[in-house]
Amino acid sequence: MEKVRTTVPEPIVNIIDLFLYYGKVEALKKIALDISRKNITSFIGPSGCGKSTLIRCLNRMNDLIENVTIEGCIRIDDQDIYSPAVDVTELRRRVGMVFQKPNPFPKTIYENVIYGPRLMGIRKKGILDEICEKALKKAALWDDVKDRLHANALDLSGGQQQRICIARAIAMEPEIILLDEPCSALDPIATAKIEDMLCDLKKDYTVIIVTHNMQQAARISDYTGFFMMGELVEYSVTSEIFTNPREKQTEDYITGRFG
Amino acid sequence: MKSLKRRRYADRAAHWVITLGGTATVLVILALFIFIFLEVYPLLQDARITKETTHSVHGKVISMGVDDHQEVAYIIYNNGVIEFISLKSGALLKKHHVSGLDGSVITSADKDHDRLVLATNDGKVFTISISFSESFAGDSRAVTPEVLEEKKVKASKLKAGILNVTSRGDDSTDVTAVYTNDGHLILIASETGKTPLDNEEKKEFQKDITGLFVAHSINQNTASVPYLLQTEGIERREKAKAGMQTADNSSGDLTEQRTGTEITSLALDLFMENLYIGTPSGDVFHIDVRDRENPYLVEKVKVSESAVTALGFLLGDVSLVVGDASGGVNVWMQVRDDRSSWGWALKKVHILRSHKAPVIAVAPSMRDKGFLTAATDGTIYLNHATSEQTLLRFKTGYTPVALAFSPKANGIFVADTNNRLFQWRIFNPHPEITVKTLFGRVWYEGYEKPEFVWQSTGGTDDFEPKLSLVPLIFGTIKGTLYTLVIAVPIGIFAALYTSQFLHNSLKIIKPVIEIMAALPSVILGFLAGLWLAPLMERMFPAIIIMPFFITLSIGIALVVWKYLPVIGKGWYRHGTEVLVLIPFIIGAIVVSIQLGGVFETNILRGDYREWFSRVLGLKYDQRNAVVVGIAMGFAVIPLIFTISEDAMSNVPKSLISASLALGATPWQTAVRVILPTASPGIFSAIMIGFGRAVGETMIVLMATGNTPIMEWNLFNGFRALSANIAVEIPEAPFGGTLYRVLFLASLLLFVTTFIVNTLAETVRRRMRLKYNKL
Ligand SMILES: Nc1ncnc2c1ncn2[C@@H]1O[C@H](COP(=O)(O)OP(=O)(O)OP(=O)(O)O)[C@@H](O)[C@H]1O
Ligand SMILES: [Mg+2]
Repeated sequence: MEKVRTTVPEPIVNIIDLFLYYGKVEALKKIALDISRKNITSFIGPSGCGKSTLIRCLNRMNDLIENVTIEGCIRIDDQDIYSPAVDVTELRRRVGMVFQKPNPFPKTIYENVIYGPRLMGIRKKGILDEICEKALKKAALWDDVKDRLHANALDLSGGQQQRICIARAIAMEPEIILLDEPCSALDPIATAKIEDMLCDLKKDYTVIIVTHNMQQAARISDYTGFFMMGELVEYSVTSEIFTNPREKQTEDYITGRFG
Repeated sequence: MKSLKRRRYADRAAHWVITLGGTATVLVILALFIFIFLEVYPLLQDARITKETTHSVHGKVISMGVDDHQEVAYIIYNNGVIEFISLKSGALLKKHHVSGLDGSVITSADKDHDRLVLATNDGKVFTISISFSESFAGDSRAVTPEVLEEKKVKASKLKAGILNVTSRGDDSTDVTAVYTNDGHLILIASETGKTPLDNEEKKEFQKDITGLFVAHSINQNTASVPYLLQTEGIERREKAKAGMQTADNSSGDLTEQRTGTEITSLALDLFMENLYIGTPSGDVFHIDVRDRENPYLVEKVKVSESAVTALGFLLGDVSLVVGDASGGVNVWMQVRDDRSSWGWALKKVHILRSHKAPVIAVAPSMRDKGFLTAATDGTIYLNHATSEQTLLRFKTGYTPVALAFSPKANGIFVADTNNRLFQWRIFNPHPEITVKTLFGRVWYEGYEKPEFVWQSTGGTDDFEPKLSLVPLIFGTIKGTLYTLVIAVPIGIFAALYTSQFLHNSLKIIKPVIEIMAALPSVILGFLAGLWLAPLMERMFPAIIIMPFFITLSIGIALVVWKYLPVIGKGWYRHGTEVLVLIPFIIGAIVVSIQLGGVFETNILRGDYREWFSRVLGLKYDQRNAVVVGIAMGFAVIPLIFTISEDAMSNVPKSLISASLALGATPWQTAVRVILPTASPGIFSAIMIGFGRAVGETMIVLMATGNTPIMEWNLFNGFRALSANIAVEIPEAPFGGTLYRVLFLASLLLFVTTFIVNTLAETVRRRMRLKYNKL
């Protein structure tokens, strides 16, 4: 059965018939979807279905893994990001990423946040300070850490560390932010803060978030994709997926009847 | 239940075994430290008196001496009687009369080992020899003294009495200088040589050389200060005179000074070439007596503000001890000096503790540069010239008349005007060692200035060991530094490349390099010394230009790489680029070797060694610091590589991903994330490499010339502390000074490694603390 391709307004990312193999194991099967600019798109699905794999494709983090074969095409702003002409570092600056597990550098909070801007060659302390403050504020962390910017980031709690990682990604001012279960280690208050932040970010950035929290997906995202076993099962406007899923599998998963 | 019990037992057993093991390790290290320290400790001990005995003498003592074991002493009285007394019982063993004295009185004597020269108040000079023979009857040792009377120098010709005598002689030659009571200095020499017809021929000379210095005294000295000074000198001597006779220099009754000048002391060296004359005006005249018939004045040196009252040579007869009327004791010697007309000048090199009264006698040790000085107030000092220390101070209460050192320098004998003979047995095994001689500049005989010198053994018996640890410490630092300069960057960059960039299929390189670490250092040393060093010497110009060509070839490789059409995925994989470099580097090496000759002839003008010394003023040794650096690098690189590679591989992948996801290039990630995060490991790697380089023995031993010089020059050798121990320990007599200094060197190495390791561990812990939350 050929699936209907969901159309979204102003697509920034086009994923066209993407296959991904870890060695011989097929992890993504013919994924085709478009992601809407300046909206929040969430990916949901059972563990191991390939959500992380897919978003890693968007900033080519899969390049680092041995034996990965990718077929198909991903376009960002109508440019094939896997073409040899693409500068990977440049791509990654445009497509920021927050990982599933918090991974701050063993440096100070300040150094963590300005890591990216520094790489781009910004030296002026004033500018860096400003970037740092802005990013931390956006990541809802400024009030927690403003007095100890020069403390080791590893001394923070897990949730705070994750927000440092978010701030670090934001500081780069990317066009697209990929978040892989950013709230899995956070308490509800911090989660709420992050969600507010993401809704805020939407004004300027395209946000793609992987989450296991249905409520979260329902609350914040504009579009939702449901994956299973490496396949995109259903993709449409969030309200539709949660209120009126087209597929039986989707309905089972959302209502918790899955497995 | 049962298994729980068993587990508890196992737990407890493990606990004990581990505690025991740990404690044992600490104890062993402590024991090692204590053992080494105990071997070093005697170096730091002060000299001390172990026994004091007194005997009585009967008359005016002119000279004395003792056998090797301090069992029998002889005492020479001014009436020609020689008494041998047992030092154990005090009993008189034997009495000997010097024949031919005919009632004349001995006024002065000069002693050189067994040889004694006695001079009398009526102008006679006798040479006698006193020796001791040992015989064993069962367990006990019997020492038998023996007096051998030799020829009487043609003394009858001297009309005047003798005040002061100095004399040296060997099988064929005898030279004696006497100062007579009518103010004349007379040189008496006899030489036995072979005539062309192989007959023995004895030549005798006798020459009045008073004129040599009288002229001088009048010309330069008398004009300004002399008269006052001279009378002052005379007065002092007059005061000190009362029965004061010493082994080396002595005075008889003073008569009026007819020649207008006066001599207070004389000293002739064993080469029978240089005669030194001390005067009341504080001058020393140096007379060259090589030509017995025509001695001439070499120089006149002002050595003191007061009268020179005692002159004496140290062992080897090169250093001259000058004692003066105000108690000063200084050591002078001939030092190269371009300003002097004959290239040498008498210079004051050591200043010793002053007496409070005029110095009247000097007696040298027969073992080292130690000597005794005695002053009129009865104080006797045991000094060591080179180390400039006064080791012991004695007091007799009365003016000493004769002074002697036992042959083994472990006993001191003093006779005083109160007819007593003191015997002090002393414990003084390492007089030459002080912190200053070990670590400071020391002015040794034959050197132009104070220097750091290590030279433990020499050809002659009177050789003085020079045991400065500074050149060795310098050598260790130089070797370590050059090694680390080579090994640290290579080790760390290789580790970085291997851990971060190299393709997995090529990572077998790591175990290969680890095997290199297991290579016995003797093999590395052997290869470095016998293969690499000559090779490098032969191809030196090629080696100089090699870095340039290798860099160039890498540059070319990069350009080629960039413009090469995209290579099929078939064979190229990330992290295998390094293979492409190999042909380029080999090419560069070949080109350098080809061009080496051209480079040498055109740029270095023919011969690089010559160019080196001409343009850079450097010397090229075959076995040099670069060879050592490379060979030790081979030993140290694997250590640094393995440990830092482990540290870098252990940097969490999540951090690397984080950095790359932020748009960092792999190199930026390496520098900003991997190196800092792995820094504790890299730091330990460097420290372990450092420890290895400091302690490495075989490689430095075999790959350098082991010359203890202190130059940073890359192309000459050095001697490291560790190699020095290996070189010298077979030569070092058990318990001797060298032996102990070698232990000190090992203590130094031990402590250095200990401190460096402790420091490294502390730093590493601190660094780890920063990163351990990962
Ligand atoms: N580096 C890898 N090498 C081989 N297989 C991998 C690798 N990473 C992921 N996989 C496999 O690919 C599939 C998808 O993994 P992925 O991490 O994308 O799942 P996910 O949807 O993110 O799961 P979760 O919700 O638990 O994070 C899994 O079956 C996983 O075993
Ligand atoms: Mg995942």
